[in-house]
Amino acid sequence: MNQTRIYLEQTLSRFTGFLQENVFAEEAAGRSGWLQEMDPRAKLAGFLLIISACSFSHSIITIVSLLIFSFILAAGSNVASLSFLKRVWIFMPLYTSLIAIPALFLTPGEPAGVLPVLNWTITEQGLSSASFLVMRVATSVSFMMLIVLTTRWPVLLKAFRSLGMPHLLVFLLAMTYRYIYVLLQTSNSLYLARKSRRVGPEAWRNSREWLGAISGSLLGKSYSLSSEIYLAMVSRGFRGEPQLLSEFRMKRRDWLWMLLFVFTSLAAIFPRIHK
Amino acid sequence: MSALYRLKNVRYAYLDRFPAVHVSEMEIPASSRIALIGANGSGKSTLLKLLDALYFPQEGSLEFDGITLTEERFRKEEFHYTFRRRVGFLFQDPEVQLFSPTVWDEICFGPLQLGWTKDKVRQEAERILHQFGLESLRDRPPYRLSIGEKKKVALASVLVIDPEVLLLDEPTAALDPRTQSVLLELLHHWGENSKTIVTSTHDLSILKEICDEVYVMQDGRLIHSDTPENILQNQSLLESSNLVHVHTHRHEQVVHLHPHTHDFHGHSHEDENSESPAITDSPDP
Repeated sequence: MNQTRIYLEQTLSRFTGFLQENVFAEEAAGRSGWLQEMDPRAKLAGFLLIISACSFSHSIITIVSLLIFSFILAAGSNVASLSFLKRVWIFMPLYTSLIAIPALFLTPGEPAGVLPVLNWTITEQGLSSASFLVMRVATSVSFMMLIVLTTRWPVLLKAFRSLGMPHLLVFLLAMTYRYIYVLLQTSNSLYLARKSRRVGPEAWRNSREWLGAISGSLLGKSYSLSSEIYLAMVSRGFRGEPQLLSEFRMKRRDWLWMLLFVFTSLAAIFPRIHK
Repeated sequence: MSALYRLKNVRYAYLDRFPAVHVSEMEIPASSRIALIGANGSGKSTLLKLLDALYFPQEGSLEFDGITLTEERFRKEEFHYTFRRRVGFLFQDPEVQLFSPTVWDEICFGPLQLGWTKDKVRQEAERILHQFGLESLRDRPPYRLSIGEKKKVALASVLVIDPEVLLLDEPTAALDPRTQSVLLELLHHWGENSKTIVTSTHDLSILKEICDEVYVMQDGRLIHSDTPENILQNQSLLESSNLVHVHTHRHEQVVHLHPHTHDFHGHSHEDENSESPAITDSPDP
């Protein structure tokens, strides 16, 4: 019984956590800082350039420098919090490490050491490949987190559109983000409604059955909701291709930032081009 | 007044199996204010969706300004835009209607789809934000608004195109009395200018404010039409269509069983001086 309750309550708390994380992101995007005041198009295009440069770079020092640059930007934008560091430095590299670990032993090359107990040989080339992978992911995630934390979602969507992403895709992203909240709230309500009527312990099997039923119910609700939303859109003139209003204006400061990002990206890949 | 909408033997059934609307004859004159009343599931919302050409009759004909509304006709871009420009629809659930990332985007959505220039969209959106007192909510995501604010934004997003016809599905549902009166005030102000307004509701207390003629619906059919004053006095009609209820309550030393309607301030008896239909028993001493 305890396990069941713990499982369900953990699921519920993760739903809530998701909502809170988004609230935190919106709050961070509303603070004053370097990146918050930047034109989102310059930010998005500049960061995409840097992330590409990071992928092309074959120097670990360059990649580490880019990572440090992202931390400087985070500090200047008042988002260098524990949450930011946790996301960039604990979870993402940790997951990537799991993929990178086999490379330590499987990549052929000069021996760099031996794993105790198992006696597996770690190669220099393996160590280098694993480090590159982990550092590239950490740097890319760091810049992506900066975009997410310093740009409000609607503004980010408009920036996507301004950079040429198709209308329909932007609109789908917007709708997904919008209605995830509604469905999360519905799931929470369904759970609480059930909890309020439950007396005493409950078998794990019943709980699983209920989870199946709630999933079906949510699917039905989301289908019905999507049909109604479509009608609401048609009613206001929608014909399959949504039109959106873009209202950005690049200032001198944004151009300077853009120049800095381009320069940084070129500097990061210059040694490779030069070779 | 000429008929703006003309319905003849209109039938609509969900999945072709579950009858929702069967209207033998109905005319809605231009510049009229009509209310559709009926219990839940009586077909009011479906009829409104037919009037907004979101659904099309499976039998019979539905004309708007002398033109029969068919799916075929709506495939033509020009007709689609002309009709959508002239008719606005407020959905019952604002959650359905507010799908854009911010209040500003929501208000701009309709005009942008109708091909207005960006300058005109901005100008009209600013105007309606000001008129509805929504300036402070401009950049807020709709999911962060209260139910009353959501309703106001939903209404503003429809009225921004200044349609000739407004179809309202339960506009006051789930609103507190103060927000209800604000919303009715906004509608009243907008409707002054010879607009056609069709409202579906089961809130009898707002009837006199929102319409000049009432249609009573039951099981998808229009069973009666009259002025709001006459409808509200027709106790047997209201009871048979499930719009008023009979229940027991205590007055001083006597427990009454009689029909009544509810309004903003609690409840009102249909006829305070008449004898109660049934006196069940005396209260305990």
